[in-house]
Amino acid sequence: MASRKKTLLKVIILGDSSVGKTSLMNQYVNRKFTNQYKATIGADFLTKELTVDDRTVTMQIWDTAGQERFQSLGVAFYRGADCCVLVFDVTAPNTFKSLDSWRDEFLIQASPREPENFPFVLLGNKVDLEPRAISSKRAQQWCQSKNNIPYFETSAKEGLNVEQAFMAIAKNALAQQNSTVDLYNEFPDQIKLTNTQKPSGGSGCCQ
Amino acid sequence: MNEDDLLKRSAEEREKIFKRYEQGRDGAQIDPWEDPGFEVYHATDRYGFIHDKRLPSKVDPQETKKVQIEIERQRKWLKMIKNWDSTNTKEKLASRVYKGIPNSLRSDVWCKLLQIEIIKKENKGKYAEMMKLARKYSTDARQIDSDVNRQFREHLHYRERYSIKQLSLFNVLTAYAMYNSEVGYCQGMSGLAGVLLMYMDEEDAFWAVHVLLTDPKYAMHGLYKEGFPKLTRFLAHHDRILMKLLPKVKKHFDRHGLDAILYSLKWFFVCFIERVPFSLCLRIWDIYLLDGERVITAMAYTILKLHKRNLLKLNDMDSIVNYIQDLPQRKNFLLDHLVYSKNLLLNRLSGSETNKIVTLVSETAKEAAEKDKECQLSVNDSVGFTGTDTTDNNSTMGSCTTLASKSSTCDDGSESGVEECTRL
Repeated sequence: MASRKKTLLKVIILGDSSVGKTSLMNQYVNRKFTNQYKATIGADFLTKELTVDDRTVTMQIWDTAGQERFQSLGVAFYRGADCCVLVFDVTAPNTFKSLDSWRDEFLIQASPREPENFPFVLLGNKVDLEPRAISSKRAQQWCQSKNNIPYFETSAKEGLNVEQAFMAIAKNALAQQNSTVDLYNEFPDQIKLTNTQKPSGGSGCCQ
Repeated sequence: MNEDDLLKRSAEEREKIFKRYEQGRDGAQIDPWEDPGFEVYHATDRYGFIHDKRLPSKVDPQETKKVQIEIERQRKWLKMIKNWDSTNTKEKLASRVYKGIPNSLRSDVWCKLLQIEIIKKENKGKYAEMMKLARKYSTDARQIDSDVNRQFREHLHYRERYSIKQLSLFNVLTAYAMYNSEVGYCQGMSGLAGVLLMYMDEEDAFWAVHVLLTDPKYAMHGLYKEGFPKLTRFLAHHDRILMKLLPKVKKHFDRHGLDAILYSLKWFFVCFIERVPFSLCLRIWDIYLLDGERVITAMAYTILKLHKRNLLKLNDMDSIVNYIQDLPQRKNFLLDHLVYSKNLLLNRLSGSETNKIVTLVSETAKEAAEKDKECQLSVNDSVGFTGTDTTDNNSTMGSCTTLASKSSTCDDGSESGVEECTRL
């Protein structure tokens, strides 16, 4: 298949408010953790160049708002995504429960051609904190039930596992991009505006 | 877990959050990072923001001059505030607001512009009642708690975890979410209330939020409720303005797949907070409180117009978005445009020539808005007119003329450091 001239991977980070989406993105791209983050409104993105299997790719990471009602703006941001990263907070059970809804909503709004094969990666963030509410086993079970989503336990604060997780994200995104030329139904159900059939006079009801 | 357990758990969680604010900073268990360490005394600017780097010890002479003018203006403003309903005030108010409300009097003037006293009198006891309800039933406490912990943390008053200002912000937002249950709490509102609370006390800020959401002049209700109908409308409107008035910019953006929502969301959603330098943001708020929502579309257009040259040079989506979002960090926020106009004026630019530039800006804006009127019909046809958006589109389009020119007038003055502009 023809490879694109410049490989751009678009990655979307989703998850409940305050699970650490912005922190993860900043830890990965800038290797920094600060307390200065503001609530993300709508979406922001950062880009990073990296090498995956001897290939230089640009990863565009989209960080989104965590409040549920912002899901309705998703369409504008999810378009053309190559991989979706779901994040929950291992100390907050509610954020784990919401994962299904984030995943489903993403698939509806982004409408990839093969939803069952679209790459997701799950990150259980804040492993530096106690007490833990969601065990590794429980998270892994969830991943298995969703067609074996890769799972990483991270700490954006300590920079733990962040690099590894994003490398896996990049690989999955790249594999997905290579496996399908056209990931999205860019032109679903074409409607032809020019009438190729000549109207057969007299048969229409309005005449 | 059954429903009773869940309810019980959420009630316990809510009570814990409320208690932590009630208790305040003393004795609260927080992570070290939750209270940022800053070199407070050297780096706090006049609006209360703390900067990582020390502010220059030498004061910029232009800045001094600006402050002096503001002090002179205070006298006029004090007179106006005393005689708020007089014809004299009515005549001069608009032009003076466009020049900028003196910072020391913003509290009074903002309250007057929003008519807080009246609505507060009509609703005595309501705020306290809503606070009580929030404590019992709020379902937004968790979201508000996490946003209060992130809102304006570089500001002196919001810096400390569970500080008095953080408590006020928490109270206003939880109470308002009860009062306006259709909107509840939406991320972004913490910024809105956060700015208001820099100039108002709790109860006034509560009513100010209410006026901004429900008064037809501002109608921000439609921005925050589920589905964001008004945001959709703003974006469609903005696109049409660009298509008519800045077609090159629009085509450029389209070519790079840049949807307006990617750069303008915060302009519309929180009236430019954190998207322009704070001093300019306050100036926009001044005229927004005076003239309402049309200020926002006019300002959005003005920003792109002033930065048109640089924007057209950028050749991918990343750099365009970054350029627009980094505007607050740009020292010469609107200076680029001055340089541009300088050429137009055949290098005759001197201090007194600056007026001409401003006139030039306002004239182009006027001319542009004339053209804009032509597309009124199509704008009215556009989608997204739902919710509580009570604005008459014709009036929005029409007044865009004066507004775009007016707003560009004051922007030049406030940020480029050119004194003459502010005296216009």
